[in-house]
Amino acid sequence: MTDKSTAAVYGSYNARSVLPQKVAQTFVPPEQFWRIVPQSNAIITGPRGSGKTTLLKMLTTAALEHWEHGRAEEARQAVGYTGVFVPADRSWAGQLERTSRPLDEDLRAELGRGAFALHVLRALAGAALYRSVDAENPRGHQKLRSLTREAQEAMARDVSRPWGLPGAVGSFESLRWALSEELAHLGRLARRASRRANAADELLAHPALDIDVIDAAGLLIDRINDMDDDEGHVWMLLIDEIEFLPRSAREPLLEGMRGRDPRIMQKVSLAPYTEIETASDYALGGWSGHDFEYIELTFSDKEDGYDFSRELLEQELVDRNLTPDVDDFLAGPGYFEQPPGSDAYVEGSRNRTAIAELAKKDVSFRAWLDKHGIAVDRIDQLGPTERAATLRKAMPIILLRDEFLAAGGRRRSRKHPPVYTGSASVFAICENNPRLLKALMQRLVDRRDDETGKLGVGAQAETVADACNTYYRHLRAIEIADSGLPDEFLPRALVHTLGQFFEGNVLGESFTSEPALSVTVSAEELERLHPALDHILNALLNYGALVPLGTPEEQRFGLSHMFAPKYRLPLRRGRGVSLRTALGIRPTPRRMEHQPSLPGTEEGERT
Amino acid sequence: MRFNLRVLPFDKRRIVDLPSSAYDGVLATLGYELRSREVPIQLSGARLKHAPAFPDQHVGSYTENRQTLQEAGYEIAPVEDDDFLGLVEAFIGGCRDLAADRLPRIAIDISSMSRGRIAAIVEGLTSDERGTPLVADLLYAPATFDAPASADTPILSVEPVSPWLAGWWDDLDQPLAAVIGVGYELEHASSAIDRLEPEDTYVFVPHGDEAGYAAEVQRANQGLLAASRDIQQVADYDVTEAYQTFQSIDTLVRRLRSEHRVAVVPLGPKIFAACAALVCSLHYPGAQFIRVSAGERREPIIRRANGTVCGLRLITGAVDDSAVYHADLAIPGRLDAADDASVALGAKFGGRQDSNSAPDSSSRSTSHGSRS
Repeated sequence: MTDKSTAAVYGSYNARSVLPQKVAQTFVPPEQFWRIVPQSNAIITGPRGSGKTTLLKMLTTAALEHWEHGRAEEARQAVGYTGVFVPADRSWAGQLERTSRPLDEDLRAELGRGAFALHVLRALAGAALYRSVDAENPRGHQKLRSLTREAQEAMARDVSRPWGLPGAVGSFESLRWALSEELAHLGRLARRASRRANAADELLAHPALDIDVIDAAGLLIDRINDMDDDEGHVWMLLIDEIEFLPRSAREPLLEGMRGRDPRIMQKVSLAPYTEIETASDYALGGWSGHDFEYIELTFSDKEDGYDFSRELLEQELVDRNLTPDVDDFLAGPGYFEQPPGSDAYVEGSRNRTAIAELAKKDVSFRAWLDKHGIAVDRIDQLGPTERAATLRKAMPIILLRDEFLAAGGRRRSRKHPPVYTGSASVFAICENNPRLLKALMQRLVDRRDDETGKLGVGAQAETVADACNTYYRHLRAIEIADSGLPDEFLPRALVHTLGQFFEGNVLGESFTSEPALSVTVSAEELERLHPALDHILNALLNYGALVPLGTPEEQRFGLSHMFAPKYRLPLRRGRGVSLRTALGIRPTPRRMEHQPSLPGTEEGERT
Repeated sequence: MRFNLRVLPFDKRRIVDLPSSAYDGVLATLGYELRSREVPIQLSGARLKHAPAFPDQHVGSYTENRQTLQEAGYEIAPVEDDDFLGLVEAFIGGCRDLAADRLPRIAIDISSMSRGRIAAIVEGLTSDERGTPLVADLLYAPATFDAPASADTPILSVEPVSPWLAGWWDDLDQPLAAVIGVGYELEHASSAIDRLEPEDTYVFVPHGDEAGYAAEVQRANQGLLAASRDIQQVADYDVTEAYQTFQSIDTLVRRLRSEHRVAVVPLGPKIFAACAALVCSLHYPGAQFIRVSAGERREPIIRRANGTVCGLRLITGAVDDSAVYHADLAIPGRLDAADDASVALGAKFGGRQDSNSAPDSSSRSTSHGSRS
């Protein structure tokens, strides 16, 4: 019996439900954090698990107050605004969409806008509340030190009526509760209206449906800023996963980036390949750098993320009371890495041995060596330029072929080879994605030997392979629209086909130092292959299973290194071929005027 | 007025022991499983009989079922999912008309229904706040064990099944807790978790009379169940003890909802879905019923009943506050006793517990009320 099922890939590592104070306890800032901190509108994109929620939460006063990092004070100084974290998630989006589906289009739009407006105001009241408590805390961030109880009561009372809140409301906390009650009331009305068309009027009459969220927020901000003698103080809406918002709720927020109220700014997170429509296409149009910063949480060069990944994993080790030495814990930097200061090709080195061994068993490699004038027994005599130009580039492929090819070029079955172990390998396999790194590291720490406390290379290799297989199997979780898509274009099947194609390029009959390891796509090609394929590729990119390469215009994608152990791929990118080629699809032949009949299919021969 | 729902056990028995004419109406399904006809044929003495077909998947035993159910007097015209709730409401209304001044009694065989239709059944029973009381038996015929299809079915959607059971969150800062009933749908449970990203996960694992089933469920969810770090609690439930299952889910959701948003994901046996739908209906807006859909790519499995039937008895309807408990207790918990009771509407409001009711059943009941 084999274990075909898998645990959740991301399970415990979503920051969404974690209190900001808790997020701050283990927060390690990637370099992009410092681009997000300034007082400006921003759109933050990155695949799943890349830290969008964490980064937004870290801009709240609660998180900043509790952050103990060496650069925390720098951040506290730089954040001169009040962060207002507004969560959104699939569960909420699903219930809103499902509840409003039976309603007519206008009412549906108004319900979405009204419901989210109440959530935003609730988050705003919460941020104001946080600033008002523990005001004398010397580490307090943006505290309202001169706020009296009477002033707070007056503010709450003043805004409660225009916010559509019935009854007496006498504090920021009371505002939050009253908004929760109104949300619940709105939900009941919406549910009733979804069952009975004649209940729609009652829903339509709910005051939340008339709220302009920017104007309504401005009412409270006015009063707090006045009281605090800081009229221009900015309140930064930190809206997580804006793709889950209905369009009617998203538009006024995104268009708020035009500076409609200079005291209200926004940083929003978004999956990178999301089709977001706005009425004007303004907010996501070509104004990046002018009205908002567009910040991607991926590292175009994997080595750029290694410092971040290392610090993140050190933090994980500290949390488990272990020595924070990642290289030591993971038995060195990795199979593909060269220890600094050593000669990679000296007699007895891993590279030298692999070259010699592969030359013995791989005819195509011997031919490649001959073509480049490289003699195995005189490699150390090659100059640095020759090494850089030829061997260094080819070395990952040589190492893999030596590991996975037997004599005669046959493939060897290696269940858990040590190829994908070591710190740099772990960083690369996880694509420097913090959630994947934390999840994998936790598994690795769990696999330590109970007696020695050490993690063996075999256990490491097995754990990495298991995690990668889990990731692969969870491609099933990618939601797709069932538009008659052929099975071979389903997310997991697509990845599998690409993986096998790339594997064939690396371990195939002919050695090449630059195998194709990426695909290029064009809109025209996608449309020809299947109209829904574009959606599948976007979903895979958002999930992180595909990784964008090169410039956006190139439309070139590689497989995540999470698939490297499964398909025995190098932890590097390679040249691209067309998606059609990678999928093994021949160009569609032109239709012939008189199609020749296949043998045995003439009318008279049918049985 | 107060809407009341009382849940009682419907103890396991043989299908052939179901009284043929005890019900005013029977609602079943014309499906491709052999078992879709086994309970309704036994109950063919009812006066109002519906077994609507699905518009598609007319494979397996469908043709044979169609003929058998049609001959037994069932209305079998295909019904789209979007129209199914309307059919349920019309069916309930029709049974009320037939019962006239008696307490209407209906049987609903959920064994071959989709989760969407089970949710619509529960909505039909729990949303009619103006309706007079009625007794509804949700019947479930466990299937003999057949190894599941091994097809690599993708997940098409993970979403609330209907507006009625979608829940409605008033605090998005609250963590999401997932309550998942697993089945042998390979990886569906972990895929649902992956999609919903709950903070806490509680897993219900089914077991029943059929050898091989429990092992297959374990196998299909081994990775998930082994990931103890991600799961707060794993509980077994007996598919033939629906009432206990209902109580377990209800208790858990009640406990969780003060500090969580709760998503209930009923995979596996349909009886879990019925229990889950009831719980989500009762705990609105704090709980949502999530349907994981593999669409038509899922390979049909032609199941047959193992000869037994079990389920839940619901007593539902709007009654005066003063009479609510009397109304509940006047209805015996066992079907044979109910046959004899013939409780008239006028009499039951003032009555006390019927002497014919079985003590073991009437002592096992859960009552829920909500303001309309």
